[in-house]
Amino acid sequence: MQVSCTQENLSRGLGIVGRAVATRTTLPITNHVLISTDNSRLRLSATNLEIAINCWIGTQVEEEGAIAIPSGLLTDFVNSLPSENIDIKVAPQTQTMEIKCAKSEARISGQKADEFPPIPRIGEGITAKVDPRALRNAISQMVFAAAVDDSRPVLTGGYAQFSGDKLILAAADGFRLAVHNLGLVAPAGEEAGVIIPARSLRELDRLLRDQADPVEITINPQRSQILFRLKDVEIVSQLIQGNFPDYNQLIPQSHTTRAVINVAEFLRAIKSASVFARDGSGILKLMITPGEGIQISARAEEVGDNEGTIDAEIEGQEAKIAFNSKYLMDIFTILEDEKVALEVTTPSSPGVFRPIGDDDWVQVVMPMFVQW
Amino acid sequence: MWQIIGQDRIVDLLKRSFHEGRLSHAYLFIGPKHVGKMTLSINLAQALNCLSEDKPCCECNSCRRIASGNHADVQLIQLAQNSENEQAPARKAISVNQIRDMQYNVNLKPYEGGYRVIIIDGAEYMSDGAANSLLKTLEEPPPNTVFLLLAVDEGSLLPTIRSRCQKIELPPLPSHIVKEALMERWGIDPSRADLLARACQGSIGWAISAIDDEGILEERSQHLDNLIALSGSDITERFEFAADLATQFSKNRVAVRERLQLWLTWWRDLLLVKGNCLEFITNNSQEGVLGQHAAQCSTSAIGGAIRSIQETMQQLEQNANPRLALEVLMLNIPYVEKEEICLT
Repeated sequence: MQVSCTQENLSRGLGIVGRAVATRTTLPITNHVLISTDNSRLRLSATNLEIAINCWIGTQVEEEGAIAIPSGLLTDFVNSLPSENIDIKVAPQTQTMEIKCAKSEARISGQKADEFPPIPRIGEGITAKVDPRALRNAISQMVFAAAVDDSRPVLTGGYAQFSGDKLILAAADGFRLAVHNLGLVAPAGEEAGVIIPARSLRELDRLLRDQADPVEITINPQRSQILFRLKDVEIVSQLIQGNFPDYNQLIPQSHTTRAVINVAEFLRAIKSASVFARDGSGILKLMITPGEGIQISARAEEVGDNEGTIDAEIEGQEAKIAFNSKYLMDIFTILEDEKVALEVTTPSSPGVFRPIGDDDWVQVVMPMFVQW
Repeated sequence: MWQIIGQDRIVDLLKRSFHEGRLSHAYLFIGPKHVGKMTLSINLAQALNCLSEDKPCCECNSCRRIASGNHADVQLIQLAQNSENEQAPARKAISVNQIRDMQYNVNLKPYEGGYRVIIIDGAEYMSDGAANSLLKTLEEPPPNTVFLLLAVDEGSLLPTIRSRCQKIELPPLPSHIVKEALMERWGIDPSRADLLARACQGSIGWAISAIDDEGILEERSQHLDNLIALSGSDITERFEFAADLATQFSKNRVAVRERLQLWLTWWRDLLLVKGNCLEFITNNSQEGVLGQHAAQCSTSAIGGAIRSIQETMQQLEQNANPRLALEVLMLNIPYVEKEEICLT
């Protein structure tokens, strides 16, 4: 193998695939990055057996070939080089990579490319296209609700349901549920529901940051992997086995009190109440009084307490409900809407946050039981 | 091609279940060290993930990567090396974190689309926490996942783990099978193959590693010489030896246990010689000395020595004072006239 490319390109590519390099692993080869020529480009691949990322960079290919090189070593070295042309040469007998840049030279021993776990190639299957901005928005509004502990594996991921020209993303951890609907640019050929690990969704979110063109999504026919094709980058994630619970049942269909609140104002109020809630097992009490507003209070025994009132347009009866301050903070720090609606019934039934006007998303939060 | 030697009955069993698609979700392979538990596990993993018709072929890309430990869906869990310090001894238990990491992985669908195989080598070293956290996964295994638990001592596994696995025992191999295999597959000449086959006590892996490493056999014969010398030495020398051995025990328990095992084979040989069953003896390189010792010791003395060694091993296992335990052992080893040995 013999190629040459610019230092910027190689460094950027290694930075992208580096996110998928395994750090702590039982499979030593997964902390390598696979470098191979692909037509006239150089393909960098890495996988931690959960997420695989392929990245293509423009290069001049003199001779085809492939090799797996320890990722950390290569990345650190390439980042330390001046921004000039890099010549890469691999001698097939020794599995050693020779890197030349300006007046610097290095040899790194690697492993045979065919020892590397095969990077999934998904050609056929269920495909759809989605706008990257909408997808990022949706991911950021639901991924925080995914469960962190592994006791119920299906909840550690985000559920993605494709039907027609709609994609529904949902996550739940037993205490809260976040659902987000978004439209597809190109509709999916078939109905499909898969569970994508939360880690993969976060990585995808990161990669989508400077993406403008629609993202192509493909689920392989065995429904074991999902591929997101971005410009020059592909991210493939393993899917979680199992069935996602039917979350539609969890969304209350009716309510007795509905309050329309200003997001910025509410966020400020819960932020100051959270300071006290932190020491008081996270309890944040909401008293909703029609015609007056919402009183938000938190108390920490022997430390102090806090009360704040915000204006709200309230319909229906007076209501009381207590939430975990962390869950409210999670929701309100990412909301982009100006106003949202809070729907509640009794102090022991879930509270629902909805946007005004459309039903792009819904957040359901279980209340906390407190002495009023 | 199944590569494991001599365990035909087990291979047949696994083959049949495999072809009928009725493999159990979890197997517990019980057998002495080096008997072939890992080889069998690798073979089974290869069969499950092989790309060619005759599974396992041991030649396709998938099989080769499983053999070299680079297959994405075949995960090996064993005593982890201490990460901070490479000089430090390996950890004493398989930690709950190792099991949890594995559990996260098994909930994903198999990476390469075949079967996920989790091999837990030394399952008896799992900490209680690790074993308990494994229970739920063993009880409700994800589809297309096979657990292989490898253990020497079944008794030290939690009964709840044992009852969730299909148990398969790998008996020690008869020495003639080991001898044939060594001659056929490794091209060892008959006399050396005979020596190795007897010395390995049915654990063919030991014999295979001894082929390349002369040191292993040398160390063994040196330990035997020590024992022979010990039989003829007086109480002062014996106690000195016990003190040395006790110091060694505090550094490396396994080595001392292995040495006591070796001593057991020696006394067993003496019994066999007394009973005129020369073809079964383990240490046939020392046949002459065996004969002399056998002539001097009564059967009950030999039996006493064997019992004493076994008791000492048990006491050491139960954290008795090693020096005291070994000194008692020294007192119980029958005395054999030195002069007579020198004549040979």
